[in-house]
Amino acid sequence: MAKLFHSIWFKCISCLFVILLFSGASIAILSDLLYVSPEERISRSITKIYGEEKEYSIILDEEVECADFGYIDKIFIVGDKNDTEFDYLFHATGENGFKDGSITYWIRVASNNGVLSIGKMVIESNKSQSFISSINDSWHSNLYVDLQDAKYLTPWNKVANKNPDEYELIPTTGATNSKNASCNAVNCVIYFISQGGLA
Amino acid sequence: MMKTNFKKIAKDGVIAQNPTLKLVLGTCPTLALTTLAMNGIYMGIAVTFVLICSNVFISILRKIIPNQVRIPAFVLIIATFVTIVRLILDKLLPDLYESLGLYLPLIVVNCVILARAESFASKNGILASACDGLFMGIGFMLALTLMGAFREILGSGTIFGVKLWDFQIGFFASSAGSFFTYALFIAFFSLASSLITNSKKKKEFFNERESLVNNCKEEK
Repeated sequence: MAKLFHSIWFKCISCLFVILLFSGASIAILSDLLYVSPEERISRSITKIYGEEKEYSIILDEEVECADFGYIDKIFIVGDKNDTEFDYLFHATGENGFKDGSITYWIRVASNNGVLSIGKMVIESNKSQSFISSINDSWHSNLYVDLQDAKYLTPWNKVANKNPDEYELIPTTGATNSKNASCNAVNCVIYFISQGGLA
Repeated sequence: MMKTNFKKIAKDGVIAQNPTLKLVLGTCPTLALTTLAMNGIYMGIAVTFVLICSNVFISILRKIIPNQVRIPAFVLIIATFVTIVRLILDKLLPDLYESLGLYLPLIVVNCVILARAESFASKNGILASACDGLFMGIGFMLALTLMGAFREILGSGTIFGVKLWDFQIGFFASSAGSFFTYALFIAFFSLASSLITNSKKKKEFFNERESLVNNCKEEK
């Protein structure tokens, strides 16, 4: 037994174990001290979109599937709903991107006397989108649509058709597939509103 | 006990043994992040912090860590500090955290840090290791910032986000441009190093010859 405790392998394993213990403990303590809450993350996203902190209220906090386009899992109202001008903030994930991945957006939908339009989109995260660099501010500005009678978007033209069942993705380049996920995030919002989700 | 030459450590870190341009280490963040000069500074600050902390701790533990498990132990220590940096940046500097993106956790496998841990920190004292970490980090940051500035000026027509002109060469903003820029900088750095070394050798040669001639004259 004494021979075991003096062996080099015991020393190696115990050294690694002690380092692991101290590392784990320090990271655990710091994780607690430097914890960023989900509310703080949402505030940061809102600051990114509006340039300043804004009051918001949650009207949807569960995942809602939007045909084959993707899903919406959060909707906020920014401002006062009783005013003539306020915003809806959608947290939408567009699917069917490059390598079947997705892109998650914060999409600002402005409501001006009941007329809805997309004002700004900010990427939050993506899965497998190697061509995410092809999606920039200039591309996003092409996706700002009037939502009153919007048709679903495709990367090749701004109009596909009104029936999500007839929407078909033609296989093409990686960058176009990533843009397809980007369009689908907007298509989620169009679908949700067309189905009366905001009523 | 050998006296530590801090001047040599500083010179090696920034110029003579520059990790990016001389040792060609840490090429992944060098190629990916040098689209903007500010990214070079941000990455340099993060790497410098991890270098100093990991070098200090490895130096403290150098007589305790068995030789057979030194690499896993070093990686564990480096990974701990990278995680600490991530937590600090996510809480206090979220914009910086987002701009570094995927390359922040990749600092764990950055060859600069592991190489300095293995070749310097595990064989030298705490203060010397801290200095080595600091100046290697400064050298890394300078190289990335210069490359980033070069690519930003030519590729985007801006410097540190400030617009200079409308003229842009898209090639320098692309991945191919990053390789080209890196090769260009390594070539210029090598040329400058060899010119300085040659001029020093010439100077030494002429000084030696002059002293020999003077000695001969005195003997006569």
